[in-house]
Amino acid sequence: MDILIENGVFVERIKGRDPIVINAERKVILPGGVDLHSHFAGSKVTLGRLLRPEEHRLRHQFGNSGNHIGTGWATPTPFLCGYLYSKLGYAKIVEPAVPPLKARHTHEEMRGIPYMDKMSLLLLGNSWIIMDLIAQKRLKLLEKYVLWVLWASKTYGIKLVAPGSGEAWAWGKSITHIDDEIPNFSITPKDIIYNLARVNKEIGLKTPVHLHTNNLGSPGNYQTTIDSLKTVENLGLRDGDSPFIIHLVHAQFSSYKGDSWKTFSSGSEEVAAYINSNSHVSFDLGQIIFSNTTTMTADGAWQYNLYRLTGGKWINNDVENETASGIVPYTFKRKNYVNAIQWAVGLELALLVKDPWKLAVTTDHPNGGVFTSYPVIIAWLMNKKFRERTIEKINSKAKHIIILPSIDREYTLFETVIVTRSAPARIMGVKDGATIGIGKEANLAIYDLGDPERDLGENPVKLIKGLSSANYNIKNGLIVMKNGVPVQDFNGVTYYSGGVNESEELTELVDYYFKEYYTVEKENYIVQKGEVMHPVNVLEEVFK
Amino acid sequence: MKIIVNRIIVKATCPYCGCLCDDVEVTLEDGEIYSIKNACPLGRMKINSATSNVRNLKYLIKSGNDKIEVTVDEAVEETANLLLSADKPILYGWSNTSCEAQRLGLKIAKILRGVWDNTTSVCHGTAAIATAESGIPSATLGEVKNRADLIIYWGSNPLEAHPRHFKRYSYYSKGRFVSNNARRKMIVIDVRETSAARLADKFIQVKPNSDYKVISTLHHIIKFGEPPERKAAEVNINDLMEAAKLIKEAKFGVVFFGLGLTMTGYGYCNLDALYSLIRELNRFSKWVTIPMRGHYNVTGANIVASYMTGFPFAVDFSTGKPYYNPGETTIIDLLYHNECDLLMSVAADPLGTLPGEVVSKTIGMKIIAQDPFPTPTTEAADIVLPTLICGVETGGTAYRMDGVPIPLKPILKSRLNLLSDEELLKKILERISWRR
Ligand SMILES: [Zn+2]
Repeated sequence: MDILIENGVFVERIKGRDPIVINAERKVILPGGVDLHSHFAGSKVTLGRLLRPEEHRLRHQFGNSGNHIGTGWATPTPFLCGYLYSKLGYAKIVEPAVPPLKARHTHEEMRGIPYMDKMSLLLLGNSWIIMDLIAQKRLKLLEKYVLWVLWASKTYGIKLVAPGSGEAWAWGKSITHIDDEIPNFSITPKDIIYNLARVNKEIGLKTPVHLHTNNLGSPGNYQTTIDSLKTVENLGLRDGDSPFIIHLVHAQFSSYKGDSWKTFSSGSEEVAAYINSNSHVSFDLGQIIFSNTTTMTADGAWQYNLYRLTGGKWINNDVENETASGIVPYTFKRKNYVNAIQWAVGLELALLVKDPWKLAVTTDHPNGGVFTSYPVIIAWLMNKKFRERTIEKINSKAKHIIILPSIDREYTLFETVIVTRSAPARIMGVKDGATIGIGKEANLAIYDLGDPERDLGENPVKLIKGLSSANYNIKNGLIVMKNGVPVQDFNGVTYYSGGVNESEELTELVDYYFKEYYTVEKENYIVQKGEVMHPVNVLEEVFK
Repeated sequence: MKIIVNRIIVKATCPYCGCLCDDVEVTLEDGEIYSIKNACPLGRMKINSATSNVRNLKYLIKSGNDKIEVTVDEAVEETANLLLSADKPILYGWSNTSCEAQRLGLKIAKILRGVWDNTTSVCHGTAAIATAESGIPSATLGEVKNRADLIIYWGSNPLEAHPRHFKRYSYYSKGRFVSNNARRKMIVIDVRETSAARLADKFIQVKPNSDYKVISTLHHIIKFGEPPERKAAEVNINDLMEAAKLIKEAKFGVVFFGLGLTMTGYGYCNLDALYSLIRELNRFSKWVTIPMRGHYNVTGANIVASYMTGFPFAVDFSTGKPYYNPGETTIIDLLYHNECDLLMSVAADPLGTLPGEVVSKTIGMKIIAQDPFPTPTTEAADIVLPTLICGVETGGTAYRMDGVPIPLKPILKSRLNLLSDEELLKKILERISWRR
């Protein structure tokens, strides 16, 4: 069978002469990968770099090649980031935590990431304007504001990180229950989750609200997670490719039972059961990898807890009127009881949720581990024996209480393609970018995974090696990478959403916050299209 | 007779200090500056410098004892010649220009296997080192404006060095949860009674180079309720006890620190101790600390270098991979040990600002100086590359002292036919890439 590509798309027949021919016999051809949750650019990533110069001595590339600079393990430089993703066979990546005030910074780094199409999610879960509008029940104006702030920051979708808890953390406090009132704002985290999920549906964004739950990381949080998902049950499904009303990010970190670190255990069965019996939830794994990494999140209170647990380095960086954030280096250890259970929880979720279209493989890079570990996760999913080999090495107390050993399911290769390509693309509303079909964007990765007649899961070492370095990465019909060597320069597009709304009420609202509470001028808050690499608005630019 | 003038008001971002005030308004009449609103005297001076006659006007190349004027292309060619024939060039400065220019500088340094360092290595470098040591609890300035009920300035002189800091971001600003300064308290800690000290609720005078001991003593008092038995710091203990009381009463506190902490005795240990104190205070209430950065885009230089290479300053590319070791790869140490044979200065004046014993080592070195204004460095340079004034005659991106990115704007069209730092460096990069 031949796959034909011309002018960046798949075609039925080729009009031009002398096409480049690639012999992909006995190779595996997949659509370009889609990573819908990876912290690769922006303020907190750079603060992570500042916190850990040692981490930039762990990996280095391009010493002899021109002006490209590539260092870093958990926080690779932009050029190295694009290179590593392309080598892995990926085509589209999503930076999931942009503080609106620092969106310009995120775009500045994203401009330096080659090969990939990029999207980013805007942190709106602790925004004063949003919390005030919800409290004042000005919900039509809320819709207009959300469209405006997405447009102003040139970002793609809504991210809620521990809604309301960031505002509490601004006073050094935290919120542990989604029905608790947020200090100084007469609303609760539940109000934020419900209203933004509703707004998201109403204004027709291409991806659901992405939720990082309250109490993330803490024992017993699975109940908060299920309660949060229940909050939006009655909103129905969304129109368009991505029907889900809420996307649970790095679900692993939100699926724990127990009431202390001692009684810590897996809540994967409960969370998976909820997701299996409801159709409005998608999620990504946030799988942990046993290694050292740099954790970074807008959940400032949680990062402070993590710092108190580790006693190591800690950066905090709250952003006025918008969000908290924190950075803590961390090592996930096989022999650590809690870490071992966390490792199992991620895989349990992936194996217990029946429909692969509901989930995407992530490590919440770099929080659970680095994105270059994805092939190892695939091998764990495809091969029970390979899982058992890891289980043998983990903390012995943990070994006896996890349910992972009792799960026999093994992913087929086809299912792994869904959870690394088709499902994340669909959840993000960019399905056409990860489909091999006439007229679709020609994004392909070609891998040598061994004898395709045999069960590819059988030899995990070969599988991991093959998936780690594509023979070819073809982006928009161009060969950008061949056997791990960049072939040509290429910059993908940056998708964004939102639009300017000609409304006096909105102007008045936004101007008030800039005059009273922000420390920059409104005009300088707005990221111009010229500051964004190949900007593409997926909505209308002007709304009525 | 009536003279018709074309009068317009343009918004500007002030390219002077790390406050990066973006509410400045400049009125232009027929393209000339008529008036400047909202700027401090320092910013006003910087913006007005566009009309000053004290500018570098020509591309100059040294020939014998004279400098001869050349075209921009000849200057670029000669710059490329010198850079390519250098063994280990150092590219230094970068704090008074845009992030776009800084990025190009790093790429040039990478190709040349040279060193890229910026003025951080002689101002807040110790704060970066301490951050790598233990991390920094911080926030953007708006958090202070909206929440802070206790403000501490330590080793900085805001009214002189950052004149609008009080009003825009701190003691005199109004915010959501602090409607006026009657609801804020201020402590100033310094070696001398600064003008800010006279406004403070509490001023603590410390002996020069004793800050580390004072921070440690204060930490002890806060933790244990009493001073350490062994009296370490020569400071009035009652003053510290009173300060500790104010500190423990605060709901949201901030410490702004300046060169008085970063460039005095004990070096980065001062900051390590400060960050440790701030971490401790977060057990009781909310505390953050923010550096009082000097040059308007010195923060941007650290951010750009960090994401481009993993390191905030002092990046040595001589092995092909970025290598960072302050004390070894910093400009003072490299020049002092005769490690570099070429100095390219961009938007800085190393010969006018570095210690004399280091400057004397540059005699005999090739020097390239890129700057809008004449300085001791351009004076001594083999090649002088004049440029437009970034933030006045040309735009770009800069980062405020708290890491908030703000666009720089071209306020007026220059009467000079020159390129921006970014445009000129792009030409140099192209020339070097092509020649290699
Ligand atoms: Zn995340």
